[in-house]
Amino acid sequence: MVRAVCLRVERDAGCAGLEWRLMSAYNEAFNNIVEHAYAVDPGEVEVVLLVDDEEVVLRMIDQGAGFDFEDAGARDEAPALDTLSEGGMGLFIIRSAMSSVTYERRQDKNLLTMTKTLSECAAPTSASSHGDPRC
Amino acid sequence: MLKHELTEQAGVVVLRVQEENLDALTVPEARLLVEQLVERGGIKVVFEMSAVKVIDSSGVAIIVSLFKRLRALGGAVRVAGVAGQPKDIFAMLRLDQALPIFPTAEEALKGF
Repeated sequence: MVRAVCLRVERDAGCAGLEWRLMSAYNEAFNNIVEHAYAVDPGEVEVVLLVDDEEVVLRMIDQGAGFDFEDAGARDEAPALDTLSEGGMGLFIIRSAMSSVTYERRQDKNLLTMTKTLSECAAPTSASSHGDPRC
Repeated sequence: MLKHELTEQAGVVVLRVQEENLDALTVPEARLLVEQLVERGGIKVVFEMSAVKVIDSSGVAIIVSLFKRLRALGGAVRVAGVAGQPKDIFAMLRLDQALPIFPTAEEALKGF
């Protein structure tokens, strides 16, 4: 269902590549919540998608354990093959797929907000949207 | 069990992943396959993934793990059939420059 929503958002926003970027960010964030926030006790994940003419905001909220976002493998450069680890890779994918990412701990909840600015997008093509590095 | 096909051609193992998703749900089973391949020592493997439509960091990690572990044993891995979202993720992580990637398994087998 999430993929269908992302596909529709890509189509409506006229933004090539938006679907795989949203899906990749969603998958990695969800994995992190399951593996870290809810590592001990399972819980619910709230997914919010806000779309307007300027940006798409994907927000994921959980009530699990908090984490140090800045120390959790955040980096601007792709990790080298010999140092590539799954943990750091997930956040790198989120950061690369989206325009900005912020993390907040509020009222015992984790809020991960991932934003894609639509002005960075390319126009959709009739073929697959995959492979356009601009969006 | 992870849907896959394992064949051997001219001494090279060809692992064709036949799942659409190589992600946190399917990787535990893929990890078992990787362990079986690594137990065989320094073999050559073509990892064919044209059926894979979506990959996440755990899926990438399993490919990188196979590549690094077989290389340490004197073996080698070539990756084939990377397209769509997996191709974008590989490019994002610059794995398209770090791993030997071929359009098809047949091309990966040439001169391997």
